[in-house]
Amino acid sequence: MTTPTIGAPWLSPALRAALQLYPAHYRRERGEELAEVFAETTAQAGRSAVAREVLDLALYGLLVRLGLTGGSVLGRVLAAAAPMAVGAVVGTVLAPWVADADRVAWKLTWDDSLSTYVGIMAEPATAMLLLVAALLGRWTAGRGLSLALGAMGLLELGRELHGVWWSGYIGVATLPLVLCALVLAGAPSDLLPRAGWRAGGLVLASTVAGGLLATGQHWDDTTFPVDQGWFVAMLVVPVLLAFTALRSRVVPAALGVALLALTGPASLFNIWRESRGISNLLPTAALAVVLLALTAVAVRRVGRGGVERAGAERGGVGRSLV
Amino acid sequence: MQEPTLLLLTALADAPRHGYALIQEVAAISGGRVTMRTGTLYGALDRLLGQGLIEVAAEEVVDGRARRTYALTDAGRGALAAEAERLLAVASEAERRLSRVRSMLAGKTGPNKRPATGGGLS
Repeated sequence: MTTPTIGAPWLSPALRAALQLYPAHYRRERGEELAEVFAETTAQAGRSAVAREVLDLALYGLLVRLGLTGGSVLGRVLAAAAPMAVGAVVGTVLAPWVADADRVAWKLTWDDSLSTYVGIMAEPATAMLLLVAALLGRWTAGRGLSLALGAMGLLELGRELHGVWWSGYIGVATLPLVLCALVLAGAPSDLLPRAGWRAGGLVLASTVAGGLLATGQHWDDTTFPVDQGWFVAMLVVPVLLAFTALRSRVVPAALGVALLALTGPASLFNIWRESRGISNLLPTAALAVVLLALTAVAVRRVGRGGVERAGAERGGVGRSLV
Repeated sequence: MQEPTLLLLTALADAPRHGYALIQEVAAISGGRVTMRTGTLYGALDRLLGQGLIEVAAEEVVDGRARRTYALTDAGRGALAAEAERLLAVASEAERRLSRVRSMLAGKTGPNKRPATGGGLS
């Protein structure tokens, strides 16, 4: 049998480096098996094919280490959350073009430069393409587009770092793009839904919901019509929903993650803003964090029996999974 | 069911197989269209193990090296059978409709033949 050391001299270090990305327990259990399969698949392969194989092996190692595999609860939650997060973020980006066309027209006529047009059109154009990719189930393209959208958000945030208030205000609109990109990047490819009425309907419903929320809230408007109670609710409810992942409840947890990507930055900013300073907020925030941590522990403890029973019923299959 | 899952379960339908044999079987079943890479294969295997659709059938030592073979569980056989039945029903329906259209077209283009349907049109 071919061994991992046969082949080009640079192969073994590359393979070793890729295997180092796997957690130690996984490497102990599967390392030799992975190395053998790798050696057999690359025995007759050229350099580029071997490099792709190394990359694939390394990528999966990274996903295993981060707990983002199709077999992990986190991976399943992110895959279920991705269509909702994508739809919601697309809705928030496109909403102003539908609900506030005068303001958009005013922005477009700010000056006649190409950079203004490109700057203003880039986000909605990318969001439209992302929507199409999500509806068609083209998640590789969707990942690229959401990363591009996230990068645009980060660039805009980077350009506007002028004090906490202004950065937070810009972050309300830009951080959901970054969070959506992270959700989609972390979702295992094989669990993302294929194109179909159900998946497409979910994406479109999320787009409408995100758009309605953005339009109704005006949370990128300095008038801030919604009071603090709502912002607390829009932060705490998604966090509590996300906690259900601790009991392997994928759907409510995915809903929580998608909502958090959408409402988290706005809620955090507005809670801070209405508290008039971090010193006023700190005692309540510390208490809230402690309560949430206790809730997480309680959810975890309550769920443990059921999860262990489910594992036992499967006959211990897949115990090596992350 | 996603295509890689279907291909992997099909590859295991008749016999337990180890990692590299699975890659070869998947390539053969898909007519060379799908080539699974090592990381992708183990990602799918881990998920199917977690779902209880496959299991580790044996851990042998071949040429001094540990080799793990995978097999379908009862749940995996059931899932594959259900998916095969669903695909067969869709394929049969597609074939039935296509042959109807083919016969219509043959009737339309044949010598001195009128179309079999659409008689209401003038």
